[in-house]
Amino acid sequence: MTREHTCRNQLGFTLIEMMVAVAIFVIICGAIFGLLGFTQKRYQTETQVLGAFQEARLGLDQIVRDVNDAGYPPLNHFTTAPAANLYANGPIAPSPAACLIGTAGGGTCTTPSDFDVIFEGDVDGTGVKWTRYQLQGTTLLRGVVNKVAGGDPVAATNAAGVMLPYVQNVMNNAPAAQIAQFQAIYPNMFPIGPVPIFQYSCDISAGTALCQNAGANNSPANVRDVEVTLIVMTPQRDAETKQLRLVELNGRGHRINPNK
Amino acid sequence: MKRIHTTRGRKSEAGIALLVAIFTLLLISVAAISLVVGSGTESSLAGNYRTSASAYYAAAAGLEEGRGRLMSQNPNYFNNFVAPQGGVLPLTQVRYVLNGLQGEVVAPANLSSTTTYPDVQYGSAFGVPITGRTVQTTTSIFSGGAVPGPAYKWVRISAATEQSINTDVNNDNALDNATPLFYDGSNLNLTSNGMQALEITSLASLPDGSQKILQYVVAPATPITIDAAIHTKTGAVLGDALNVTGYVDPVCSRPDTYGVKAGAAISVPGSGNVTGSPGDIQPNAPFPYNLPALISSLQGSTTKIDVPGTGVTPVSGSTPVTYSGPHATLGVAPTVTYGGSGAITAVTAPGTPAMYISPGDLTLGVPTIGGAAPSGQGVLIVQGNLTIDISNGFNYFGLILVTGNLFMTANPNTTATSNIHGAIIGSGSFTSNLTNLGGSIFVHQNACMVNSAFSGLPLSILSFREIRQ
Repeated sequence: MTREHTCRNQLGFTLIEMMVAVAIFVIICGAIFGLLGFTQKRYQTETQVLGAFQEARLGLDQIVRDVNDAGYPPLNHFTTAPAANLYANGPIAPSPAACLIGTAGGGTCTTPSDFDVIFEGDVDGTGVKWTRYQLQGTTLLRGVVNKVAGGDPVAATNAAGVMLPYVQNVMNNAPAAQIAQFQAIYPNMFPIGPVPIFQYSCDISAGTALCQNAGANNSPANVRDVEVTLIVMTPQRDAETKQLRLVELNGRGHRINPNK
Repeated sequence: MKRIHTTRGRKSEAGIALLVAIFTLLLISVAAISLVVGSGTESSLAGNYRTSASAYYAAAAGLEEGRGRLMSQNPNYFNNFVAPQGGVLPLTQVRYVLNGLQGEVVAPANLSSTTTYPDVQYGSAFGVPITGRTVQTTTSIFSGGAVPGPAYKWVRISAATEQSINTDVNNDNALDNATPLFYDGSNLNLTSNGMQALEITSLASLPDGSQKILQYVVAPATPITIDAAIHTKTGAVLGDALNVTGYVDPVCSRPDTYGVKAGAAISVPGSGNVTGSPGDIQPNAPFPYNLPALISSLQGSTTKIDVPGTGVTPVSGSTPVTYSGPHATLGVAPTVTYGGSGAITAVTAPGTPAMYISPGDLTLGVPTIGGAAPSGQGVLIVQGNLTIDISNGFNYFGLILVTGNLFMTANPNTTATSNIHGAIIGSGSFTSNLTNLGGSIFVHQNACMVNSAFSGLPLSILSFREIRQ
């Protein structure tokens, strides 16, 4: 009696049962692994996007802080003017010395321009510095040198070893063919072509205006705000869609120190 | 036998499903945790950026509260909390605006506590710990509000020195730590020229411990350097009823000046009394003021003199329009105590300065004895000639700017005493050829009253910087 009971309990599955069970198992596993694979690709892509975003954000934050702190100490802090390297002539060091700010190739300033700017000031109590940001290709460079009395800030920062890579894959001034590709994917990001990294607002009697529209007030000494736009591309294409992924960040630096 | 063996084998495999399930769960958990940790890292990076920016703007809010409340038109004006009216905040005095959360103790002068936001930066900037200074505190406008305000903890207001701003202002290759800096409208100086420059420093601290310290150096937007009680571009005639002194009122800790400076001859007929230091008078003196530019810079803050309440009206039929105010009130005069020589020894009520501009000639007072004396405090700008009849007295505290000539007239029978404390600056001449008056006219140099008259103007930001900790 006991043996019969044991035999009944140990009856196996039929082939059909096994096939159905295995089929369900395979379907479920397939779905799970498919989802896992998709998730993995998304994770890889989003990690890259986040990395690009983070790099751009840190770069942007530093630029904005450099704008805010530029121009210290101003000339008004001295009863008699000291050597020119001991005070900030203004928040922005222009080259050539007297020039007009333009955009898209306009203006007469080498710097400040759409992709090149040099800030002047003592940000850490160690003397007045020139801090330059310049886009070369798709790399935004940053360099800091001591201000040289009577010197040209562009020449000083062009010295070997000064300018170092700061933010990679900056696409604001990418080649025309690449921008055309971007425009197909992100039509709003590149409305008319290259996007200036730096746009300058100058003080005018009624407030501020873009420096290129500021008429007689168009001067690096009158720059009040610097609008910063960074468009950064991820190192690899989207693993799922195979499309280029871009991140755009905007910031605004506000110059507080006077320009004298 | 075989069946029994099989039965035993199955019995030994009975928990395998549980093990497989646990193992699977473990794998899934590891994957999930790694995802959570990954996203957590991103969150903290984003958080660091956010708190850094938040602390920056919170500290900036503190700076703006400090700057705003230094202006007399601010409803939360500091008034005498920072310095005696129009006076100087000594180097040994430090003021704090505290902005702790409800129940939170903020004690910047307590260097022994690390939890009450001690101000160690003061010691490193000035070379003297904050405990070596006399500290006064007040609360922020956000303190005690239903909604928490910006997360700054304190705002420090102090005198500025070469050492504290780490700048060799006078280019002598030394950083002075004992002389407050002044601002003359163009540059800082160590010679009390113009108005005092103040340092406003703000500490913001967020709950996660991130901190920022930002600093302004500020000064009145349109300072003016007083170098005499009366300074005219052309000549001056000072009758014997007039007592003019460049010795500053005792209530004001500003330098003494000449009594009268003029671009031409200065005549002191009769027993006119003019004193000052380094000299009583200086004829043929250069005129350092650009009155049109100064008036233009003040234009936005001035009120036309014939607004209701001043008692000044246009004189009908006059061309160009002239104005008259028999018993004018041009701002609320302070309540003061006079010493024996007519000098102010105490200010018991500060009054309210105001800026008025007369677009044409102005006459204040009347020769008929009786009625209130014209009075006021602030800045009185006359674009033309100013005639003051002191028959009923005249009491003004602040700065009188005249683009034309200034005349003083009186009914010879008057016994009233007139008091002008501040300075008179004119592009023309000053004539007060009054003799044998029963009353007296005192004109005392008081740069504090002039400073106070400008206190309604926003303070200029001379510099801004973030102090790295």
